[in-house]
Amino acid sequence: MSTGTPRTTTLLRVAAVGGRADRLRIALTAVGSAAATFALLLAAAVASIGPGDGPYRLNLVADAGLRPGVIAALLLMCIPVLTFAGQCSRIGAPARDRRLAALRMAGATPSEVRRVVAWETGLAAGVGAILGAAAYVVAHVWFSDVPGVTAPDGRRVVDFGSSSTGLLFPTDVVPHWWLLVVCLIGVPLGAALGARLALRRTAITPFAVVRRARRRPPTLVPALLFVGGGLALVFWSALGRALPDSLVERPWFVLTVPVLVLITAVGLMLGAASGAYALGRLLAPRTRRPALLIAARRMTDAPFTASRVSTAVVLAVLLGCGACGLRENFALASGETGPYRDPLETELFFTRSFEVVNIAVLIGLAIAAAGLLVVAAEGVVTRRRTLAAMTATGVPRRTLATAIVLETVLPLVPTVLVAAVTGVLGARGVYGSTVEVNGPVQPNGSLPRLTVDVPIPWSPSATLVGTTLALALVMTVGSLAFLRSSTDIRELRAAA
Amino acid sequence: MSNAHVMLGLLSRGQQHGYDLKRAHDEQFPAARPLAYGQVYATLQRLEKQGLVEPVTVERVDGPDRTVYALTDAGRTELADWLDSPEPPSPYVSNPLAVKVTLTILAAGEQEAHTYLRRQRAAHLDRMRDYTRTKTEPSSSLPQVLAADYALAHLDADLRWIDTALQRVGALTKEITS
Amino acid sequence: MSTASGEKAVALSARSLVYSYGAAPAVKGVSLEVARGEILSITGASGSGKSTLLLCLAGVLAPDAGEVRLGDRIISAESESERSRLRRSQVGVVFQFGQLVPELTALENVALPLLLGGARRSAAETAARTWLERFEVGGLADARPPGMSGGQSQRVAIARAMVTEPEVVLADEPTGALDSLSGELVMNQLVRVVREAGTTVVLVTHDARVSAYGDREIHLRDGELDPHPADLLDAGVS
Repeated sequence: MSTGTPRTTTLLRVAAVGGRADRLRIALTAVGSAAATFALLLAAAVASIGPGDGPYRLNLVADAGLRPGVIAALLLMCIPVLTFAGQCSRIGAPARDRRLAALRMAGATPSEVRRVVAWETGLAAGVGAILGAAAYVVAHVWFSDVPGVTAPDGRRVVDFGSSSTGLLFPTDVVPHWWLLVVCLIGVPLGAALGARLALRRTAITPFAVVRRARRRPPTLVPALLFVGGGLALVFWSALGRALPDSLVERPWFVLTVPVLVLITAVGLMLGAASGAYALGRLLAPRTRRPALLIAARRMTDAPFTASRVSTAVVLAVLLGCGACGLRENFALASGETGPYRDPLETELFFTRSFEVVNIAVLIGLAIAAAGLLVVAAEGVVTRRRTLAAMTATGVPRRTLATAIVLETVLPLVPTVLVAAVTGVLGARGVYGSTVEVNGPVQPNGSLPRLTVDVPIPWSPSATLVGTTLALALVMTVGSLAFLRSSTDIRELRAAA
Repeated sequence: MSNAHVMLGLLSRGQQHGYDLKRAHDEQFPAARPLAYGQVYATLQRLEKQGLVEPVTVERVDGPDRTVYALTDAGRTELADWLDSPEPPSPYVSNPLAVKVTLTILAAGEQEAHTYLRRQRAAHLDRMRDYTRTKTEPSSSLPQVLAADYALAHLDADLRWIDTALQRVGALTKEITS
Repeated sequence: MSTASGEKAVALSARSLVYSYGAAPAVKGVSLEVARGEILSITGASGSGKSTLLLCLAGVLAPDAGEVRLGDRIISAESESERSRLRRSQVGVVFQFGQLVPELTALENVALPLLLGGARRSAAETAARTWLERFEVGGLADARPPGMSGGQSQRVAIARAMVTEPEVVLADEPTGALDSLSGELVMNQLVRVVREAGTTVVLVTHDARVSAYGDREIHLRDGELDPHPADLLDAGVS
């Protein structure tokens, strides 16, 4: 009778026996890791730009002062990507958890089981990181051939103002070596660690059945975070005026803004569960539509699914609408838009830059939507038995489909709206709802400074909210593709 | 278990005529064959000789002698001892069905044995339906329900045996005719 | 008494039903008739095809060959959505487990078929409450299935099957997951209620004692019906 420690490879082989779902999970982990690595490498490159590099087409990158913002944005992009990877890690998880529980019953210790999962995720993420790095290298080579402005002596002339020449991406820069190490090692390591942490409850109990006591989601803490952070943002300028100057003029005071944004976002994300619960309890006893009844009860029963779905979406909408507000402000202040627009202003720096920001937001939104699809599909597949029995006892598939769509999209609506409003008001709160612009030249030659109201970005933010909800709808409807196979009568035979 | 013990047990409720004892027996044990008066009196007289019961009064109502009997202390002790000890599970269980199957194979062949088992099964099921109807009747007394339960459990046991026997007829035929 | 037809009206019938799961045949040419108000038991070992037969009779599965009639309707030829509608009006189905929506309360579960038929919430809940009480689980109206015992949730499931006052109730091993005492309670109540309502019942079970609650039994072996016992009883020497 062997009492030694089983080799990791043995454990892996037993645990990784799975089928399609497991392969999908591993593949998506690799993809997520590749995307995160790519973004990180890009950020590292931007961070490594020295004075002699360039020129760059994007003024965002060219201007040294704006680069921290770009780096921050790229780092922020990792959040939806990693959220997506986290959502994917639940694919096939019930079956895998059962296998792990069987391993435990056969004598594996909790730490051995955790080791298996960490290795599986780490290896998949490692492969992904290599792929992401390879993609970066390809982009590096592809984009480095560029028509530049060359001085007669062969030196490249850095031209800050020109927007038609220069590299699109800072692919002429090789990131500092230590940054490279961080990116390539950090992602797989972080993924493995995250997987190990996420497994704590399952690995400890040999029984894969987790006793789900219906937990009421926390309302107080998220509400405090959200309201506190949100109000602080909205009234930031006023607060700044109220606080003593010595405090306000400290260099780190500016950091309070991103910190407050983070607090507000976290409050919103955590509060999504509580909102879903409350909405479900409100609707369930009052409706006569079976689809809505089922969806409302599902929201009450599994509110944390709603929060899992809305995390990345909320962040995208919050930042996106904030950016809309900021764009109105900066563009107006720099004379690019508005009634006192400078006709000589052709560069439209801010307008262009914010277009790039919009693209970034849309990419983040797309990733969030992909995560939504994953969560919705996983929900359908996991509830196969119940869905099949419901079909067999006479609930039409159309009702079930409507219920599934409602249960995912309904909680999103208030959350997204609140995020949008917070983003717009927060931007106005931090940067003010009025700006000073140069008025028209007076007859006596002076240039008055006028105070102009920054318009509320109704149209852009409404577009963002609409796009978000439409995307969510499309993705949820997409998950219905799994409904037909999930309601197959064969699901019932498993017990017969 | 014997009728003697049953009488002792029924007498524990209080002194009774033999006639009352017969009625009590038939009511409480509907599944058992009803007792004949002769049996009752014979048993009572035996018990009296053993000192376990004693006659209390003799009523003369026009007709036969109607003696009222009661338990003696010895009778009570005997009853308590008997109630305390469990019934020995019988080592011999008669299975008339198995006998019939074997004989059918020898006399008529495997096919007929199959047919016999199927008919027996149908008869058993018919009887089970009768007992189930008794059970679901709201007017049935609890002793009747318990008796029906017991019968159903035994019929079910027979049925299970019939089902497995049906699968083994072929092998059985080979063995006993070789 | 060779078959159950005769003067009594036939509520449900099947003729030469065939159904296969892919290449594996489960039901191989079964014909039967169920009289109105009758309780028919279908017995057989696991894998004999009795559950498949029941699903064909319920209109959940469309048979590969043969027909199923409910009264005068040939339901086996109808579309999936029409057969689906059947199951919330004329036909009630009860399974061994897993048929209640775990997130809805017992009351909402029982009211669901009525809501699907377009009833108002309050009317549906009133009817649901009545049926829960007929099965003596009225106190569980606001409880959820995961918190109930097996016997309780089966009674709720039967109440749900009966709430639309169907002509036929089809039950597949309704007591299969229960201990004998709970199972007996469930069957007693089921029989009492369907006799009062005159509902026709088809009961699939492998347990002889459960099948004894029926008026008549047919036995399935490897997808085919065993010859009717009455034919065996009549024919030949007893």
